[in-house]
Amino acid sequence: MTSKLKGWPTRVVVTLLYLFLLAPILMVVVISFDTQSTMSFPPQGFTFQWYERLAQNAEFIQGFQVSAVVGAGVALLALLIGVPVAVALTRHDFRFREAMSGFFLSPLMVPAIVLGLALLLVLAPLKITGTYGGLIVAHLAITVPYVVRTTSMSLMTMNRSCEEAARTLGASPWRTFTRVTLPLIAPGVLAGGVIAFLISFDEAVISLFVVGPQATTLPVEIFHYVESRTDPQIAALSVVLIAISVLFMVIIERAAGLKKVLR
Amino acid sequence: MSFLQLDDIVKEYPGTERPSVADFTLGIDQGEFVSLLGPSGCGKTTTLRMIAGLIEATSGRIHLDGKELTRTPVHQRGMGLVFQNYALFPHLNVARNVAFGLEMRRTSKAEARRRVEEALDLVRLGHLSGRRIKQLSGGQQQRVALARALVIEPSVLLLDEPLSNLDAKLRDTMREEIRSIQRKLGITTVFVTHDQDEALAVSDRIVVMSEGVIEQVGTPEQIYEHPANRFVANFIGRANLFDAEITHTANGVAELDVAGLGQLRAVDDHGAKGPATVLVRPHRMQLSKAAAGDAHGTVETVVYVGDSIEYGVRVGDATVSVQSVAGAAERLERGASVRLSWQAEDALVLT
Repeated sequence: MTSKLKGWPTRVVVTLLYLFLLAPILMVVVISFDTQSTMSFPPQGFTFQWYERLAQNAEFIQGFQVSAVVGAGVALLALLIGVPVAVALTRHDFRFREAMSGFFLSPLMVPAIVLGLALLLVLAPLKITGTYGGLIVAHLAITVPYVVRTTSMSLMTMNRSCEEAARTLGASPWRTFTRVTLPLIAPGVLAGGVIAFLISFDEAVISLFVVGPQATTLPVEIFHYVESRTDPQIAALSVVLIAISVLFMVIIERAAGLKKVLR
Repeated sequence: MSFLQLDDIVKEYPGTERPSVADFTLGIDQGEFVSLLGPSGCGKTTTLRMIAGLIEATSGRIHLDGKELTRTPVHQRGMGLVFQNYALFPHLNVARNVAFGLEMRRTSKAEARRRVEEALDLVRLGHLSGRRIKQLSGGQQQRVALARALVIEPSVLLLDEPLSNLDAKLRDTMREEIRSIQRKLGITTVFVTHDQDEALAVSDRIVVMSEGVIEQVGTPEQIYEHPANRFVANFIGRANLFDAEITHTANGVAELDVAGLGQLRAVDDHGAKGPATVLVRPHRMQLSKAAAGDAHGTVETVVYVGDSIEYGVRVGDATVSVQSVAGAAERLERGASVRLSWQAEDALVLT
């Protein structure tokens, strides 16, 4: 009993803190159902009209499709690049290993706006700005480090003698990887893929530099939209995006446990 | 050449003072159970891993059944290795763990199923084949690891401290079980341990190692009764070592002048005169009460351990351990003045 009573002040503080952090998001949810035609608080009524308009907004739907395709491509390619890199960095000793490790994490230390400009300068001469390919390449720069990170973490914490056991039992290095290592690090790999997708889906700053008329991602569409309009349609869209993010987080949590992956 | 022949094996890691394993030469016969025994860091596990192929030797050669396999990759050596932490595959159940090596060999499904069943029966786990690894106790995991290594019918069974994670009672049972399975299959086995009792109990031969080199190779009796040097004498069983001067040797028995104890005799295979070290096991020491002027030392500690009494006797600035059968002799108290001696056949002159 006493311990429960003692816990009360903590609970109140934590609850208030979370309310403070979540309040803006709750505001967005509330506003998305408001009848007023500009975003404002408190709400005046209840309507689904913003969601209905959203469903008819060709730019947003187009942007959503582009972002989904780019996100999926980025997640897949980030895994194809990041997983072998993580294996090399954790399982093999070679010259410049530390340098390589730093190199693969470095994009996270550069401001996104600088990275965006740099990518524009590189991608423009290749004539792939404003294409799916250009967007995917740009997003890989910031997502591969996450895949390397989560996969390396799994590789370092898994029981290495399982790999050795597989080898003594007759498994070649490749079969050891596919039959033992990969299943054991799967949660970390999956988490890396999901994080890569979410980052790509959410990325606006770098995308602003490399989008074009044929391929504009959703965050960029949103950015352009709020430059000229302020109706709650954008709030309705935000709610949809929040729902998608939550869904993905639930997937990671179920697969691996968020704490384990984000450690 | 023996069935498993190691010649001049050296393992050096860059940036270390001494090699992890140096000039390791050993022949192991088919069906033999050989233990690599030594304190941690003596190179025993490194040697085992070089046999398995998990570590590449810096130099030296390994032959198995007449064929050189020094450069053969791990997965083509066909050796069964049981790891200290078992290294079972957590994502596979018991039967799939055991079947792994057979799958890698593309054994037909029907035959694989039969052999997995046989292997699990051998370690008395047939009833648990569908279990997940997490649901098994330590002893059961150990048996699965053994079955998984044996099912591929390895040319050599390698055991890396397989018992050290088990509790004391289970350890003794598993030890007997491993030995009886080994006898039944007649499989050549190399067993790594730091536990001398374990090594003495199960081995045909023991290789005592320290700091990367072999100190002695011999049967358990040879190692215990005739240790080659001070290190082996101290490491295997408990030992009293005395500094002595050999005055005369005849018929393999040396007359000694032992510091603090006077004239005594000991078995001597070397026949050299001069300073020497004499080994006497605590239970071979003789202890008797004496008048203060006639005594060698005083009883410092008395520990009653049930079937025997262990005395610590102060002689000069050294402490001598004496183990006497409880009830067989008068029990001495702390502070008692005593004389120490031994029968010539119970003492051994070391080089």
